[in-house]
Amino acid sequence: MGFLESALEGIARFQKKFALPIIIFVIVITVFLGIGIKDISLQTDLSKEMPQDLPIFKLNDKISDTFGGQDTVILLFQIEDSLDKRSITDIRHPYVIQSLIVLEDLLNKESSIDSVTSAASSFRGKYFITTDHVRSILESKPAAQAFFSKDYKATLMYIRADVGSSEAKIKSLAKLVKDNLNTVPGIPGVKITITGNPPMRAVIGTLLSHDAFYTLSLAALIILLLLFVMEKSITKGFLVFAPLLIGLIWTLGTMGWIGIPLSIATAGLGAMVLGLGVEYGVFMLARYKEERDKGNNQEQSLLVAVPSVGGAIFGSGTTTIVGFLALTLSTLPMMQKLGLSLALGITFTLISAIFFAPAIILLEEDFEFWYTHHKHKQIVAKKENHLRNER
Amino acid sequence: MIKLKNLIPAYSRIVSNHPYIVLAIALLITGLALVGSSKVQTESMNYKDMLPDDLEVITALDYINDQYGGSDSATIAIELLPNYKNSDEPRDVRDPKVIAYVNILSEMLLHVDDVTRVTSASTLLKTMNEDILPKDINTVANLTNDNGLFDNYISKDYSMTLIRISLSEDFNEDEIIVDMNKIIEELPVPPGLKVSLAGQTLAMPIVKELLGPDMARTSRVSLIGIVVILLLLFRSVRFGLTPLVTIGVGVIWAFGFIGLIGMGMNSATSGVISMIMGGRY
Repeated sequence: MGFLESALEGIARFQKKFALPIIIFVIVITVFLGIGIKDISLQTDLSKEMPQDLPIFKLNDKISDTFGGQDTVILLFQIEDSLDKRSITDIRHPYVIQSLIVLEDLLNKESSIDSVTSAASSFRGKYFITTDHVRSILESKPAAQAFFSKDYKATLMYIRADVGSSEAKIKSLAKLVKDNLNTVPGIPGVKITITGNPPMRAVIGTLLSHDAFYTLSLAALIILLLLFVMEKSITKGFLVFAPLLIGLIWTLGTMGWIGIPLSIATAGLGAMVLGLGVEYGVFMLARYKEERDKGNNQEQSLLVAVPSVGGAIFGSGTTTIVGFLALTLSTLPMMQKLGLSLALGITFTLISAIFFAPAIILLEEDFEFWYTHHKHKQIVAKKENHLRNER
Repeated sequence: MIKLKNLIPAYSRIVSNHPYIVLAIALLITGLALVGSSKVQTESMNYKDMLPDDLEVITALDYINDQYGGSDSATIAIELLPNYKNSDEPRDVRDPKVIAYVNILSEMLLHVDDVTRVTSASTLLKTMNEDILPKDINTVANLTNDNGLFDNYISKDYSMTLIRISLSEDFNEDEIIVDMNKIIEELPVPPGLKVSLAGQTLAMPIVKELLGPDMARTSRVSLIGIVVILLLLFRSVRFGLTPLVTIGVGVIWAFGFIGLIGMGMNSATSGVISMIMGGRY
């Protein structure tokens, strides 16, 4: 008998003796690790997921430190198709220019904004701006002209700020721009849209959170339904799912504790861990049931199921873990984090399937045994009562 | 489930009765997959590729790309790097020698395909000085002092200046790096200056070049690790290596499919080989 098999036999005996303490211990660990889930951060800055030791990234950081914000929010002022006669039809309208000046002044006062550039600076110092005045200035200043589209249906305002990788800063910058926009009187027929990298990152952050939750929920639901169908029992389905869920909570909690963020690479991690780890529990339960159906008692069944299935899933799981751990040698931090997270996920679902699943299977069986006998006693007592009372 | 139970033995019978036919089919698929896998290309990632096209933030960006000729930009950083003490190498980027170099570089960059606009300290100075570059540092200092526009081009300690380059929509990221590097290499740099390409737009193609070697390294390590574990577990070379055939075939089929549907490999998908290897067999 190999070392692994004899160790697993020892585990099986331990599980038979201490099923309840094992479950309590697992719950304590789960609560502790689960607390880390709330600390999982979002990483939407693609550049931070790239090798930071490359000269170009070092230089980008230096430029960012030296010149302030490298993140540019673009405000697009665009003429909308409208039948309203009051609507502006040419973006060079003096009202638009005045709005640009007001907005630029407001944004320039914000300490978190490094610079604001638009056509407005070419029209400063004028009390009264006319259409002719605008046109003549644009003709003489090609730099101002560059802010306008060729068909004069749009103009741009560039807002630069250093938000770096901080998701909070991105959101607050987007909010700041929106708040300032709201204080400027509306321009009839002109639609203002916020775009550029920071708003895109804000959207990515929202989508990442949504996708992570959505894919995880969907995967959990489908897997659970399949388990109900396969096991032909809701209880048995949950018996397989519970260790998987525990493994997932440990994984996400550990990510929070050690600071692995939710990024474009790790957003689907939950669904991947569920999909990859579900079979461990299925094998364990199936093998145990097989032995029980042969008429073996709990301990005998465990002594067969845990070493045989445990050995097989240990081998399968270890190769999976090694495969994923190889990704930690990638030059891309994105891949390193994905590899580590997946390796953690498989390790935890494997541990959960080998240590926790047999314990919960035993407890469920004991409960079912107790419940059936309890019910049986109640029914027998009821029947005797009926007989005594000669209905 | 009942159907699956019937299907698997049926498939087993086919395999045992006609192993050569099954093998021939597998080899045929593998051959096709090899053709497909040769079409797999590595590609860069950007924020726009990560988001659905119908989002307002993306449609606005597309509109800007159409109307203004692209919203992507690149940067060239010119830093002071004096080699000798007390030499006449520039100690201030406002030095006319630096400004003259920036001016020539800016003008040459305008001729690069996909470059739509180049702005730098020299272009601003010319705008302010009737299209003439100042000949002495004091004039440059007078023009640049207290002018916020220069904050985007000249660092506060005067050790670095930037050339900002606007790029057209759908610019060729590989060609533009080659072209810009060629100009930087061919144009004599004044002594004591260091010129480098910068910006996220230019960083991504550089990362893209790392993907191939990176995938090869992680796959190699993954394979070695898996082989070691299989040999330890099975304690047999034959049984230890047999599962690797399925891994190899699985990887080829996966890459073949990726190539045939035209899906490139990027930073987020570069770990796929290791994941397939580690996954299941």
